[in-house]
Amino acid sequence: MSLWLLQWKRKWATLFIVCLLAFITGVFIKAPRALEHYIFHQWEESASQIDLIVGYKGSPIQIVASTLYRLENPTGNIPAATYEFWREHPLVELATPIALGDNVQGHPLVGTDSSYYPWFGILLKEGHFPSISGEVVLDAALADQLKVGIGASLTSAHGSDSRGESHEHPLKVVGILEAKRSADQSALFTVPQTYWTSHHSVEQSYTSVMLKLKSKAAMLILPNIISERPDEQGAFPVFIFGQLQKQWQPTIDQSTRWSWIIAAGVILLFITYISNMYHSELNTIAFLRNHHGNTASIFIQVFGNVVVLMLLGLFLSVMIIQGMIGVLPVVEEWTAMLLTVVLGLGLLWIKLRKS
Amino acid sequence: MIVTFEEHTISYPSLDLSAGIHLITGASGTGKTTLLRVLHGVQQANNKPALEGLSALMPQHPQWIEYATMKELLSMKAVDGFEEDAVALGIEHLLHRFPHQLSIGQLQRFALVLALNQGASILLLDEPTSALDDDWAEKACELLDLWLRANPRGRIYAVTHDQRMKDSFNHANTLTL
Repeated sequence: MSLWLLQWKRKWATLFIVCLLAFITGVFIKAPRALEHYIFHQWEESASQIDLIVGYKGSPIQIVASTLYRLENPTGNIPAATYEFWREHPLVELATPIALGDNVQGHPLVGTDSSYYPWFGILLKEGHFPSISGEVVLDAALADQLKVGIGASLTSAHGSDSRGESHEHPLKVVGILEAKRSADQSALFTVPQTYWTSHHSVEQSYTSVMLKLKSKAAMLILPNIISERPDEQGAFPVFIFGQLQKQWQPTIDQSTRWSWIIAAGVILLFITYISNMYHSELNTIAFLRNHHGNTASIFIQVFGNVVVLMLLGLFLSVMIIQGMIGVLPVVEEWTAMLLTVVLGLGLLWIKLRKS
Repeated sequence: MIVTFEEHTISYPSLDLSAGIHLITGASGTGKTTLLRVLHGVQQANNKPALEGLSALMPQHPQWIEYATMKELLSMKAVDGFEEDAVALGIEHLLHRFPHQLSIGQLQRFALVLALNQGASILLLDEPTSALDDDWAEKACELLDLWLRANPRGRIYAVTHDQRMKDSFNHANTLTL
């Protein structure tokens, strides 16, 4: 029996410790980047696609958060005439109405027209887009979660959670989507007429209108026009996003600093572990030395498979972390962790040479 | 014979390289164990005497791999047939135990079995009977004698203070440090 086989008796303990250390190191290095990635990059991407959102008088942040991300309650309603005004405005290339305020089992119900879907890259996997009142479509994963398919009936309720008052008009699933943004993956879509029917509205109204302008220069002219119109509030998502980023950035910078301090502590733990491993193997080293083992062969026999396990653990942990937050550059993290391993092994080699 | 290593220099009498058993005696601290380690090659030294053939070292305090059973350890380093010597030394029923589950005397018997069964032509034994009772010490000496008969060109260098061993090998060459 070789020592390699004997070492495998302890594989689980070694693998556990290596994975744990590597995982903790990786997570602490990666977490702030993941936070930044989710908060900024993904949001910025969708925010940059909309030039302007017009809603009822109120907070611009609230208008952007409710219209784009469904994180806030809407500021109020705007009449259909407002939508028509902007749709026909000469500086506007595209206007998409948004009606919000109801939910289906806690998921927001978005009333919009067919221009919304291509705007955010939403594809139809099955069925058709809603065209009449009461028809809804939703992302495939959400359909699985709600256990509904095409033809299924659903009920909407007032407000942002399912405890709101239920509407008597049933909804019918007519299509399954493939959505890209998480805000779209967790919402159901219908036509605005569904809102008017279920709310028994005499007057047609919307929550907001998303606008794509014909030129960026229009962004300088439109604020004046909006301010002259009663009960309307304009919100530029890119500017709102910039304000949000300014508020969040110090928090992320702080957490990044703490992460590096914690990671340095974990790396010290890792080196201590390697050092302890060496001491626990002193008898093994003496045994092998007494049986004609030279430094290189002992190093390979005693620590070779541990090294394999360590690298495997590092690889696994990086893969897990990468899987968690999507594809990001990994060079820094790999370098840091591999340098730690090389440092630990270098110390071992020096100790072995002296023993 | 002058051996130097690190900052030490030890002057030894000339080593008898003839076949058979050679007992090494002397007061503590005169370099007996060091001599065996130098001969085996685990202690780097200058002017090291050249021994032809593979050596096997039985340290006074053998070190074992803690997570291996005695059978796994012997299987790793000993040639086939070690079980016969284990039976002769009464430890065959302990082969599946780990080192920490055995007494010093039992471990010494295992160390002797390991030394005898490595296919070596030179045995370097450091106090091989120090932890054995009279019966097992006698049995150990019998096994060494058998080994010499089976290996007529073989050599044993044994550091010992044990009168029982000196009596068993009263014809042996003795090197006093």
